[in-house]
Amino acid sequence: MRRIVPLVLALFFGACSRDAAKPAQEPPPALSNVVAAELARLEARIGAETKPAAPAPTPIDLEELRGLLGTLAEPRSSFREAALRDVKSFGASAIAPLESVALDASAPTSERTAAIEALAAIGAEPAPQVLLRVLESAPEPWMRAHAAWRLGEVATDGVVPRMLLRLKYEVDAETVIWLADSLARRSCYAGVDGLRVVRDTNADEGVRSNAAQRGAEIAARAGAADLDALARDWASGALEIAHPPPPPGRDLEREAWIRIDKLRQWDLRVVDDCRFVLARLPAWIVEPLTRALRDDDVYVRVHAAQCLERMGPRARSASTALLASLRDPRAASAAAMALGATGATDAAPDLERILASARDIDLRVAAATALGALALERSHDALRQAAAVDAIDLRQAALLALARSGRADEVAPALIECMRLEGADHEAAQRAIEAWLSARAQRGDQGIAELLERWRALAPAAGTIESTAQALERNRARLALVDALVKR
Amino acid sequence: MNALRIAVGGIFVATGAAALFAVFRPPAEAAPARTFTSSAQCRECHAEPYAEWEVSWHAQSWTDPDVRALSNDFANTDCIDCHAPRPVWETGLGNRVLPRTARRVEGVDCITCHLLPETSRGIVAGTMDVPTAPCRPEAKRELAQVEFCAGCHDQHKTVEQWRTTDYAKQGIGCIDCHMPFRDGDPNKGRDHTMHGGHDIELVRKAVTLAARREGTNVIAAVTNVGAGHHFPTDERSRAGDVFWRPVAAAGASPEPWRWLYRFRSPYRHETALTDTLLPAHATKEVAIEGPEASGRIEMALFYKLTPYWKDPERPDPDAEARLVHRVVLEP
Repeated sequence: MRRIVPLVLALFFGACSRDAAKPAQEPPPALSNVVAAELARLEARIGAETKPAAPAPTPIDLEELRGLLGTLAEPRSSFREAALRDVKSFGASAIAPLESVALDASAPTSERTAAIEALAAIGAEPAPQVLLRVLESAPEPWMRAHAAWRLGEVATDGVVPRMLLRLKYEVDAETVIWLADSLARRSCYAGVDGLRVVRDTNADEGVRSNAAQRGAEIAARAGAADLDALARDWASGALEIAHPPPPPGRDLEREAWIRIDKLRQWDLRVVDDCRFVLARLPAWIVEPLTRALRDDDVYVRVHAAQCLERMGPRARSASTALLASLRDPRAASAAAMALGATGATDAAPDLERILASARDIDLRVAAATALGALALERSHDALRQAAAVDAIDLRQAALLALARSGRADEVAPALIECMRLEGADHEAAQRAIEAWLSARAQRGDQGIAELLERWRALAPAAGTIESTAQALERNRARLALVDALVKR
Repeated sequence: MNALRIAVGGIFVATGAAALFAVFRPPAEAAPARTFTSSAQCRECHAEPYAEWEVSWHAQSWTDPDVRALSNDFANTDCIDCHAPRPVWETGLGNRVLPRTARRVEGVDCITCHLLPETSRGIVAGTMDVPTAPCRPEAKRELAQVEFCAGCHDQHKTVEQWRTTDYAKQGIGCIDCHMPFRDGDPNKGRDHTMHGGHDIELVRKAVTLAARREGTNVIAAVTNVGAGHHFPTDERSRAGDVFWRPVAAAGASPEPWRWLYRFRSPYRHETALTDTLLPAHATKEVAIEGPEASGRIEMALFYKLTPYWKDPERPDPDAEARLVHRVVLEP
């Protein structure tokens, strides 16, 4: 008995003290079928706003339509305006015949582009869908470019997501130029990066010149100094803070929620297409994405957080919702990464706490990476402590984060050590060390500049892929280079 | 008599004691349960499967230079989900996996396939219940089902392709070819090296190459005789190419290979290409028309782990691909 009483007391007080030491834990956010509810709301709204079905289109005189297209195909014809007006008067009846002309490879080029112009002028559904089909599947690049141009003129903004997706797959430079232009007309500047690539690297001087001219016009319309400044301001979120994008129309909002819904799909290619589109929509998309963080489907929650992460600083307003998602055990890592990428400096205390004491090592690594992206001096001590743990992945993530937040000189020896450790990410360590060497070379250290040259000479030649053995050998050779540096 | 009584009594006592021990013996002491955060922990008890896995392409799914090149160093983030996945059991059988942030260099590791959710009876999925082991294995027959692999491998349609084959009807699944029993002995467990397209001997068993003359034409025939899915199955990033050239005279340098046909499914931006994967049990015949191949020729099937040639105008399969089969056709 004398032994049991102290034991019981010890257990009692031990249990009490463990509880007292636990930080107050808020419950995970409540989840529901958010996406289905939103889609139902939008369908109801669209149903209520849709006018009664129009009478069946009356047959039109195809000869007359062909004649009008012939007039439209004449750039100098004084009857173009009248012809366009007459084509529009046909309304929906003309859409199917116009699609036939547009896709008829044997028809004259000028007539086919006139059909595209006429479809845009009619504007009513399903004309925009025809233009999108041409954009997505016409084998002739000039047809796709024409469709991209004319899609900038149709009234519905529901075409934007499919235009954005085309940025992922389009290989024709002219089409990229016109996609950027048409998207910019709808306050979406996601095409600007591709436009800059065409402007700077296309082999055809005429195409480069067209891209430069179009880019200058887009920048002027957006109130930016030039195309590069526009790209910077779009990526940083400054543009949308200065000029908030207009709210989406019901068609675009519905298309956005359809893509959020598709994040739960099994096929990763579908998911990635949706992530690509959602992350490039104007900043109004942040609010729907933050609501999706409360969906009861884990895939929707995780991928919605990834979309916010990919938006970067443009999604800064998501920080409150993302902070709450840190308590969602299955989406917390993705939320942490998103907080870092969006620049949510107010998340630093929570991320530091997670870094120090979370049970899930995956979440701790995500917190370290996010703190590296935030690059705040206040987090250095927390990162230093994490850089001293046994788990190599967490240790390396903390070292990389410190390097990213201005402490590269301090952690370089430990990062070099990561190049020899089993379980460490040697490629990530090499990238960080190369950045550190590059910074030192830029500070005027001639010895480092020469070493950096030797380091870079070990990279595989452009266009070649190393074998695993060659990659290991490169790591060994680079390690030998920088090892001497540390010992020196 | 006393001695007999003592002996009989002794037997009774001993039997009783044995029976009592059998009934009331203490259970085997369970080792303390462990938390698993790295596959390296598994090596302590499972050295053989760990050594097999360590050299497998599952282990290199994050570090493989081919993957890094094709995914633009994982800038194409949709590759991360399957190349550094969270445990299959976390999202469930047949569902796709979610990406992880930690220990990505371990690729598709022990934890990916074996770690069970916290709500499970055991800690890891295995072939038998061992409640006393530190990893508390729980028998899970699902480990052997194709749905287990489908979450990742059907992203490239491999399981979908398998479902249409005779192998599916016969119940021959992924692990029967890719994870056979060690030395063919079920008592030795399954090989965790998980051979696939990187194993050229396995590729050689999957397809045949034959050539014949029909009039002035030469017909090349490639047959998928052994793959339980299309050849090649990883539809976008793998390719099989048929080449031919005249056989060089003794001492002369061979001519460059002449490309004849490619088995591959294109990326979505490659709109000018069509899907030419070779389904299981199917044969594809391609003709070299006209007299140019009328002499003694050699024909070869090469396998590429990445789809592109350094110089598409002058592909060099000897340097950039692996020889699967070569046949010589006489005039």
